[in-house]
Amino acid sequence: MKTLAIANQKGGCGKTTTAVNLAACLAAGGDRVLLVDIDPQSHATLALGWEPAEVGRSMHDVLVKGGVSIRQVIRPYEPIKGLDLAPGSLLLSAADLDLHEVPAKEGLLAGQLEQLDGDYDLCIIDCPAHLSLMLVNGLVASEYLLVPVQTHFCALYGLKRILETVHVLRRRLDCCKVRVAGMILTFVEEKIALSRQIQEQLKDFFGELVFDTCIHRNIRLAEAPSAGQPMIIFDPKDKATAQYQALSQELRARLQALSVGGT
Amino acid sequence: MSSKRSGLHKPVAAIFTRAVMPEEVRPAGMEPPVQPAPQVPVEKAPQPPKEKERVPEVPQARPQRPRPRPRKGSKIAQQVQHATIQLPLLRPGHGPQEHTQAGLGRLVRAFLGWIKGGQG
Repeated sequence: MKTLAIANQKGGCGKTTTAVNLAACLAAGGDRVLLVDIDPQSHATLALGWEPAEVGRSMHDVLVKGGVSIRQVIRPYEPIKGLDLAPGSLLLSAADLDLHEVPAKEGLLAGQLEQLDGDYDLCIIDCPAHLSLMLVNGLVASEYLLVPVQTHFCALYGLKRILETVHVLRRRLDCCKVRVAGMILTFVEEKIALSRQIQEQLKDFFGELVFDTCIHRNIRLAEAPSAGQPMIIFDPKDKATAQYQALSQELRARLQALSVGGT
Repeated sequence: MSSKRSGLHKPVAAIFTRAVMPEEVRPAGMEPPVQPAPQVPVEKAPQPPKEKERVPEVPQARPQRPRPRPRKGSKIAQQVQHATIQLPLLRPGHGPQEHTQAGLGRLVRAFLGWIKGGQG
């Protein structure tokens, strides 16, 4: 099972939208995908139609309360075969305080995912934006990191921060092996000079790490969570659906190349 | 001052060139920024165990300075030195040592007057 964290230390740049729609497109393409929601906002849970406050057992029970394994909280997303969700909880916002005395607290999620090896092809972890124990758990549990970057100036600093965090974690924690699989540009607007310039300059600077596919600003992406559906169910013919499908194929190929080449 | 030029006012490269980032992200040929040496905790030299209760030092009595010998002066002055012991004018607590130098003249005058009086 490959593990992929989706993170950026800036909020509102499309992390959850990317996590949900990538998971849905990959599952629709035949992969067995587990989406793990460790963001206290629990918007990935919401976007698949579960109300976080009423979802019952969640990742909070697994990581903070204890005594519950991740298998006990996973539930299948019925409309797409092969897509499962480990729901998040608003209570995860206090995880830093609740777990501050727990030894090896950075590796709690990694320990849980080890139990699932072989059950899934890919585990996608939707991480919170702020530097917290949940973000660290997501990065430690992952082999790869995908960074959604909104084509706005402040999002570049969110990218800078998450790259620094990865660098520091890999130096300080032996258990952290995460590597950057790439950056996906979101909220792209071709008619806006700022958006075009950031797109071009990021590609000039980071080269192939920036995915060819980019996600354009699209109101349908904001509407789909209100129906509790990913885009591939909500509006299969929309441009955003096609873009996420293209991204899922590009990501699958890249992860394959990274796991084979190791570079 | 406002700017009407649309677009990015700070190049992307300026943000990332000096950033700390993983090796796989760093563009080829770009040197990693010089980082300050990691702070290694310095081992402190072993210190003697602290005393449970520190006994306060008792201030030692100052060694008494030897009493200055009276200066050799005139014969009268020597007589004054000896005579003051028996001076009837001096009250307890008002011996010659308590007198300041300014009062010494008054004492001498009183002594001389006593001698003259005695002789008379």
